[in-house]
Amino acid sequence: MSRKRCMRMESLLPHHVVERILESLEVNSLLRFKAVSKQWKSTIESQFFQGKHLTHRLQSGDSDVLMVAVHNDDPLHVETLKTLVLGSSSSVKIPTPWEENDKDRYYFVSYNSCDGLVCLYQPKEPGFVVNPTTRWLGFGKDIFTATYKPVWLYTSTEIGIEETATTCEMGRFIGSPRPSAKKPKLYLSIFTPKLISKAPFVNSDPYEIVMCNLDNRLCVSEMKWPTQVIWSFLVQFRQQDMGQNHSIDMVINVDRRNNLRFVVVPLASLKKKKLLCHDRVLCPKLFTHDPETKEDDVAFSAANSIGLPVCYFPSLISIL
Amino acid sequence: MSSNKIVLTSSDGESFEVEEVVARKLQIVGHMLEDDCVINEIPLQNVTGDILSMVIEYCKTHVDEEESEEAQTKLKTWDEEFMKKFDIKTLLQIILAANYLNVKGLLDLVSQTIADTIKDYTPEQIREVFGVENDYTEEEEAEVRKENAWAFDEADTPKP
Repeated sequence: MSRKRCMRMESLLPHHVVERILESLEVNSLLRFKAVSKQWKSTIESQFFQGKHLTHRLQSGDSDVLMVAVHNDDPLHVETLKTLVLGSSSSVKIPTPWEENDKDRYYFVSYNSCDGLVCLYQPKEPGFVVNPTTRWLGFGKDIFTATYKPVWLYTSTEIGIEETATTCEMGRFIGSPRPSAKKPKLYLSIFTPKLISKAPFVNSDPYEIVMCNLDNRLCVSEMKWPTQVIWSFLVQFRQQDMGQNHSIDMVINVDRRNNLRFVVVPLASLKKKKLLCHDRVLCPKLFTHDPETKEDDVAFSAANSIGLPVCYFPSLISIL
Repeated sequence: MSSNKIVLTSSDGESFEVEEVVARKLQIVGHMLEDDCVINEIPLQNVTGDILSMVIEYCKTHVDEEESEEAQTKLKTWDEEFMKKFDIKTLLQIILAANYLNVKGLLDLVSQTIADTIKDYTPEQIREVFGVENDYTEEEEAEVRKENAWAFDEADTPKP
């Protein structure tokens, strides 16, 4: 295209226009562009911008997958963190500080992410909050005392509460519902849930049932051979009450020729109305399920293991 | 809608006669028309004729915002082809104009296109293209680069 003039721009872009462009960039470009100037760095590091950036990502793309504790060829060696962009065939290893000396350290991961952060934990030790996109590693925030603490996740059995007890303490993450709302934060909260006594799956076999978070709603999925149903619940986590409304949202027909016993874990609902699932029996595979056409497609497969998969949206957010 | 014509004049004196519905896609014009209905020639100080003609081309194509999926897909394809014509310098001129004239759809489209174009740039290239002055000392810049070293490694080997 012929241009009459292509001189150096006489006026710079107003900074709010620059910010708009930056919102559309991926995190690793933004980390690199912190070196452009002090103003660019301060924009990229501001909470306001980071919230807007995440909102843009939530609206425009699908989540990525973090694979935790992946076994490779050497059976004694686990790779703690690997990230995967859906649609690509290879994953990227994220180095962690402990892997240099302690190759068989094994972390579990919370089922859900929040604002791009996930929680790694071990049964008897404090865990970490990790942003796999920026490779930031830190602690959780206690909303009651407003201090940062090592993260402990535990269940009632680990701390010796009798199994018959009707209450238990659980740690879970609560994100701000709208990341653009001033201060996107990750909170670790302790709450006492109520039992849902009229749930439709009270008498189910525990192997045939799984909890998940789809579109920020608590869902429970149960295998009802030869299909699997997903109930979604209207739950108010911010109040102490758990709502009791539930409905069957979706029925998945998964290919069960190789899997008669274990329920398939729904990981995320994707933009094209598909569901990303993990079949724990056909372990090194993630697949997408299309509820309309009832078709399954392999989304990712690895030679040995995909560890514990959890979905997250890439973000710049850390909780410093 | 009446086919009332409006003349838009660029900073370098080029005039474009467009239908009122098209002109109203430029929100700056829309506001002027609401303030005073009898204008039919509008001078636009901050945009040159060559850039304004592209903005008008975008607005003409997007004048009917049809909801149907087919129409949306067609528009999207058109948008992609339209953006392919421009180099980064022109894109920056267009975003400046879209910001000044307040054309939301174009602003979103050009922001994304610029982001896709510059994602593998080095900080030096960014400074040159955006006209940003490097206000770091050498030590400060080295420190920022060190903190984010892995993001630089990947820039050297761009993805296929």
